[in-house]
Amino acid sequence: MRSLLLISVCLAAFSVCLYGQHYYYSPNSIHNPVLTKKNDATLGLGMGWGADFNAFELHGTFSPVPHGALMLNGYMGGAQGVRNMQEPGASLRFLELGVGAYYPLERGFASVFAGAGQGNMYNYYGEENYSSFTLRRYFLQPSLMYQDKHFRCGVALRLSRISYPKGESSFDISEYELTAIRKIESDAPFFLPELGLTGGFVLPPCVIAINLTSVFPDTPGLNFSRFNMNLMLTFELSKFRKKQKS
Amino acid sequence: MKKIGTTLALFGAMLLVVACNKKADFDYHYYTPEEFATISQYLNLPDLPDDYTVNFPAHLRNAGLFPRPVERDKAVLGRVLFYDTKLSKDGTIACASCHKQEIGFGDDVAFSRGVYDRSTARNSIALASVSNFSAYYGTDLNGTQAIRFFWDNRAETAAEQSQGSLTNSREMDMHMSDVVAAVQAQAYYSPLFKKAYGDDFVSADRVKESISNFVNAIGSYQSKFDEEAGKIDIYTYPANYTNFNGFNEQQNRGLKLYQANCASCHSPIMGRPMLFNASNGLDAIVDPNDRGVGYVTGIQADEGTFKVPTLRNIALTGPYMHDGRFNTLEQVIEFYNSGIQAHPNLHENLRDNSGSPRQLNFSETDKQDLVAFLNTLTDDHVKNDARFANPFK
Repeated sequence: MRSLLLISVCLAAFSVCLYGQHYYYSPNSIHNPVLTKKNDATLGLGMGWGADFNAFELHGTFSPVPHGALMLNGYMGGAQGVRNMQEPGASLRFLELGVGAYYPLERGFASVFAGAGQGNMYNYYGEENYSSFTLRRYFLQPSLMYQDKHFRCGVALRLSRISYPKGESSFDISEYELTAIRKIESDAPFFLPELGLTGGFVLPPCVIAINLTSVFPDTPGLNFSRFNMNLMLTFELSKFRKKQKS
Repeated sequence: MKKIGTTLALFGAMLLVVACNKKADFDYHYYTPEEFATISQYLNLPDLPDDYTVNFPAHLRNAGLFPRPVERDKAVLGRVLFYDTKLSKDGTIACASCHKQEIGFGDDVAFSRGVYDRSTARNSIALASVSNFSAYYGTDLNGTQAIRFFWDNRAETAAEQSQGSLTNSREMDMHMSDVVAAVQAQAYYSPLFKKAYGDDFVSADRVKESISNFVNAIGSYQSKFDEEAGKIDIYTYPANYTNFNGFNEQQNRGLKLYQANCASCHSPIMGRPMLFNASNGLDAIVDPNDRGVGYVTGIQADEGTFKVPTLRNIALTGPYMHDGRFNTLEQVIEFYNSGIQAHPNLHENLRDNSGSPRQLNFSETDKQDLVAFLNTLTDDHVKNDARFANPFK
């Protein structure tokens, strides 16, 4: 009960919505799951912040076979008013699936996942000018996690291939934005390594953690948001089942 | 586990390599479909606006020259206005009628034909190099030191100049209110005004401003001369503007003759002319029918003087002088060689030490060399640039 109260307070304290500037890619937090055996499952809900946006994230994993797992990541960033053309800004909605393998270590876990996802990157510039791009990502993600009784931290590397298979844009937008869009059109797809760090507290059956994700090469002229910070509450569903059984 | 991990890593690597190979191909929207349908009934405008940004090459920038900023959407609108014959009293004359793109935006007659076949009073000034000196023109930017417009420098700004031609009885013979009405009557202007100004309200000021933006974007800076000037080490400027490695011997001799005899008025770097106005001794007296700048200023020293023009594209823009009296460059050179008259306001650059008109004493070879050099000032991009071409179907 105390754990849940602490978690709720933390989440409430960070429930702030800000709309942002324009961007044409934003990294969701790297999902670094902790799985130990077949039928383990986790579900994470998080609030994220970048340099110019805020986001809601969903992380889910399930291990149908020993050492094998499926991953689901969802991301929704930016203010709702952007897609309704009520306020200028950016909005990204993205869903991806992955398949991977994990291996418990002496003091932690190792995993590697690969997958693909697709979403929509939308920007509204005012005066009925907008851009809307289909964003597609393929990724390969090795990661390591350390955990003791109360604390968990880890690092993950996500090698992403970002492409924009289709899109449209108003032409009557600022030269700066138009230049970025044209650069994306000419230079995509992009190979982007992203680094993720996670650290949190284990409060069974939950984990509350902060995730930091960064696109670490510079992306000049592309107007990419390169940084994401995420506060995530993860439910380890297998521990719920154990509690019920006991 | 090891097998699974290895397989997965390979699978992921393969995904990254082979996937996502489709290049982005975005659609851009500028006009609404309805707007573009309206425009396309009358005009051959692209669905996306042309870029009218003027980017001077380094050798001009290093010389302190810079173009006026051009507002793209106003230039698009200005282009249509520039070519629209409906802005004239008899519906036959546009700005482009006397400023033809294929000849450096000049005219190939001594006096152009205006409405009802009336003859203009002076030779059409070529507009192909406006952006080259636009930093210096217009009293709105440069005050009393500004380059002005028309052969007599009577217009202080480009907008005033365009009004001068629109309302001139020999040229387009309109009242500005008639121009506004003519523009309002054409369906294709509404979307263009909306893009340029946010609404489709038509005013005389907007018409003039848009034409100015279009004309301001026309520039010549990619001639053979510019190509060679761009290779010169700027730290030795302007010393090396007397020999270009890419010129042949004849052109280089002509370049030296130009620098020695012509550049003091017409600019050693083909930038803005060195003088606002001058008398070059075409006649020995002030023509009472055309006193030039003197008629405008009332200053005795300006009597019989006229604008000193740029020589860019000079090979395209004959006939020459304010009254188009010379048809060829050879005639012009011969005039300067031996025909300068003792005009009362003859500029000192054209006087010898005794104050008499200079005799340049060119040989036949010198004259040919000078013509060869003047031909290097032609920028073919201007006459072929689709952005400045007639948009009407």
